[in-house]
Amino acid sequence: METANKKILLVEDDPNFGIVLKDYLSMNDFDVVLAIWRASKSSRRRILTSVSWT
Amino acid sequence: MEGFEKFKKENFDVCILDVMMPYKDGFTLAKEIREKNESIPIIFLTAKTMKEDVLKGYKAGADDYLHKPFDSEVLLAKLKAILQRKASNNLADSKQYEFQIGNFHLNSKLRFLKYKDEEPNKLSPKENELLRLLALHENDLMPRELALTKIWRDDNYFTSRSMDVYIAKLRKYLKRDDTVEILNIHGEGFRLVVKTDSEKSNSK
Repeated sequence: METANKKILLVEDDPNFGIVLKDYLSMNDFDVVLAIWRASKSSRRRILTSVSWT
Repeated sequence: MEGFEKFKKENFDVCILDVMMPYKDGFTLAKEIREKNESIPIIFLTAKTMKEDVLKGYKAGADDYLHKPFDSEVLLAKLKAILQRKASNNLADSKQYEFQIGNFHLNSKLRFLKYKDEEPNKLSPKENELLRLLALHENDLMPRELALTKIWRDDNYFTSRSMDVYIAKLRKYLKRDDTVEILNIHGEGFRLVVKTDSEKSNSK
């Protein structure tokens, strides 16, 4: 199966893991677009706030 | 930029989504992607191992599911298998109905198989569909399971034996042309080989 130029969307919230996986897949001829999905500062604050309520 | 925004901006062959993401989890993202593209393969990566989550993932449109930590070679093998399956399905859904197979002409809409200028043979529906699938994969592997699921709608021992009978029938039709041959690729499927004139003289 020819994988060259096959384009992958990789959505991860862990940038380290995402980059390692992207590199591995790129080494295997995939074209990878990595979307790092992190909570914004304000949303992190909201998460912490909601945690402190419980 | 969030994953769905990237998805909307470019064309992808596969999506690999983490399940555990803040606010919008991978399941929700998969549903949004599915609404825009029904056929794109989706693989979930997750630390979740609960059966309910796995089922939820498949319900959201996952083609496969990998638990972290996973072996990267396994992911690679899954990606290759999924892309292979997708390519075969796309081919099987092709709108091509006429084929030149060596000295034969197949018109699969009329189910006619014609050798040179002779009167055409009328094929049975299954013979016709099977030969069309082989022709779509000419000189390449036609996976056994693809033919069974597309033509027989079931992949089991009995349908598999039935397909072998139809392959034998097709070989009988095609034996008049020694440039055409259906090869059995053990454990994989069949290959319709159409030799060019130079290949034919080399094989003598």
